[in-house]
Amino acid sequence: MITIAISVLFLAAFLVLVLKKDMIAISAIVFSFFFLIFIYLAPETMVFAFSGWNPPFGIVWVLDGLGLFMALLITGIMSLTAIYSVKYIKKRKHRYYTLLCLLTIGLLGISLTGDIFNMYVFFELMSVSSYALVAFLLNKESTEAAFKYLVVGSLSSSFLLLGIAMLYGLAGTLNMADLATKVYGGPAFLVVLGLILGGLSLKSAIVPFHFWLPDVHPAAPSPVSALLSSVIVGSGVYMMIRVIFTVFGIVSVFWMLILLGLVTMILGGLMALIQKDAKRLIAYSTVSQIGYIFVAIGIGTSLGVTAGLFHLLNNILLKSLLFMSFGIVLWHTGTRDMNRLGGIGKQMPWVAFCFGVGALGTAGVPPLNGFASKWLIYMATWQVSPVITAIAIIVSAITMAYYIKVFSCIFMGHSNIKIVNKTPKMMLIPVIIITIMCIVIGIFPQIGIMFVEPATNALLNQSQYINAVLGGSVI
Amino acid sequence: MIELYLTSGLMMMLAVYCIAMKPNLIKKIIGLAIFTDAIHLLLITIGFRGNGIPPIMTHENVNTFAQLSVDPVPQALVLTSIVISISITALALGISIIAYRHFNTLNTEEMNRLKG
Amino acid sequence: MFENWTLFIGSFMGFILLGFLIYLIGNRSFRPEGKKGETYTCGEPFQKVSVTSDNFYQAIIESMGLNRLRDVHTGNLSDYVIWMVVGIVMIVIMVLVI
Repeated sequence: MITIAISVLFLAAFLVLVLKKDMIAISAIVFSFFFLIFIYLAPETMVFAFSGWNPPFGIVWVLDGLGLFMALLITGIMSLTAIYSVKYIKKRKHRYYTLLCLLTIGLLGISLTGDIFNMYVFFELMSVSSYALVAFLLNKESTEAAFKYLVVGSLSSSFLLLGIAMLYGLAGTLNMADLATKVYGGPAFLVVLGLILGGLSLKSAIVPFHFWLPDVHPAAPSPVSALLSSVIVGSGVYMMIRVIFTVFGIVSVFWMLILLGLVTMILGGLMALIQKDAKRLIAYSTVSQIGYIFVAIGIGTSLGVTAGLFHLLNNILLKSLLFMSFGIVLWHTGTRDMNRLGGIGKQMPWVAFCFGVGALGTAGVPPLNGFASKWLIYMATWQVSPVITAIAIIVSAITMAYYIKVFSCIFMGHSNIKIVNKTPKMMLIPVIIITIMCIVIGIFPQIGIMFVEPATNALLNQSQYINAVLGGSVI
Repeated sequence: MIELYLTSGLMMMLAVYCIAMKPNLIKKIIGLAIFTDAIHLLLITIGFRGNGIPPIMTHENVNTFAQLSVDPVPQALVLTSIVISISITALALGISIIAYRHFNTLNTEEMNRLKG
Repeated sequence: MFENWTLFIGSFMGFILLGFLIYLIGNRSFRPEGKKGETYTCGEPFQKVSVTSDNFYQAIIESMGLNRLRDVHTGNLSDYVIWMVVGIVMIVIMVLVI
């Protein structure tokens, strides 16, 4: 039944190139979003076995709380981005929409699958689509950013394949629930865990592997930047936590996650103070927020995992808001250099307001959603060690500092550039929708926590996952 | 058997050396291809059984077939992975053609306008 | 913690609104007399400027040595691949040890 959404997207990806109409792709992505809402409202975990081969032998797709949480977010942001790019992308639009559909298929496949090699295949589909989308504008910087991303990206996914190959050699099966029963904490399995986490860390942008993110963001068109920084990095985090919590059980990698998360937070924040290019600065901000997510998830308690997943939700919303609203500025002025942009705020007050909501939300200012999730992270880390909370608060102050820099350099002061066109409505509507969602989640954070609860329960109860797949009824 | 594992490990180390140290873009792409081929060799060797028959089922008893043949699952994984590696190599070569048109060189140390 | 969240948000917005009202009342009771002169900055006519991002946090950046951090990110692909391989080896060792 879930294959309806995937096959509609595949068909749309092919038909957009043949029939040359973009509405096919946009309607397919929006259809998959509503279809996933319909599945999300179903009460229990559904397991879907392909071609009737039952779970330990065939490929299964498991629609549990965490997978549906990610899939709903992914299709929501992709549909808003597809609407936003109608007016933004001017040349070769049909190939852009094909790549966008393939990216959606890859991301949905990663979130919903229950087989580890299937996850690798969809991960590669997503990666190849993102390499092509980064190189889309075909000018000097896009080409350089795309081949840098391609070389390191395929090297890291080769390490992931190496880990999966060794895991198959040790355990004899590829199904995640079956692996969960066969894996124990011996040294061979720990080496495999290290290789898989090392391969996935590049997509999650943790510290020694964060270098591609600031190079790729200025080079890609703005809607693609919004997707890269919010949803693709989010699916990297999803894959890591799926492997750590569901496949490998409670193996003690938590101190490693907290250490890497702290270094990532600090490095992302410090590097963002130096930048002159606005998109590189927001990219380093993404690196810093991913550090927060890993520190929160590395705590391991229920409060910590809830805080981490809530911060992931907020990061996805806020980063896509920031990149899309900066994309409107870029569409009008054509430059990203903060020395030349200045005083745009008087000419575009709504865009300045939305960017301000995004900036204040990421910095953690009270009536917005960033404050709620950061407060939960502070509460979770206080139970482990107050030093981590102190470092998190200091990095929050640094975050506020560089967002003040971006906002005042772009939107305040004397303006040198005159805006002549009117902002198209199709570009403004998704930005306003996400702004309203951020403010609503900020004023009523119970909505966000209610949305994250099933995901936390699904993540922390490994035995419930195993029983649903291996024991329960299979569609 | 053990020499196949050692060959695979040696190929991986050479491929990582090639990607990390050689500044030419085409050599890096060749290094990527060698790395994925080394992993395919490792996968097929994992499923190997001494004196085994190929996993193609003719009209025989299923049990004797299952005790004689090599493991077919890694072979399926390798077929999938070869397809993925071909698409990445094709995309990489396409991007390097466009990079040569823009920069007139394939030396990655000269193509670093994005830094900092 | 979020039980009386609406009370918290409401009081936060209320205090901001109160501050704004006090500012407006203060502005109304002040009527400047005389004619409005030009802004005087060190003897030169006033120019409209905007902030450049080159020297926005220059003192903090130089005192904390962040320029060396920027120089580490060289932009060569070879350096980045070496970082990556060293990073993966470190992650494998950390998973084994910790």
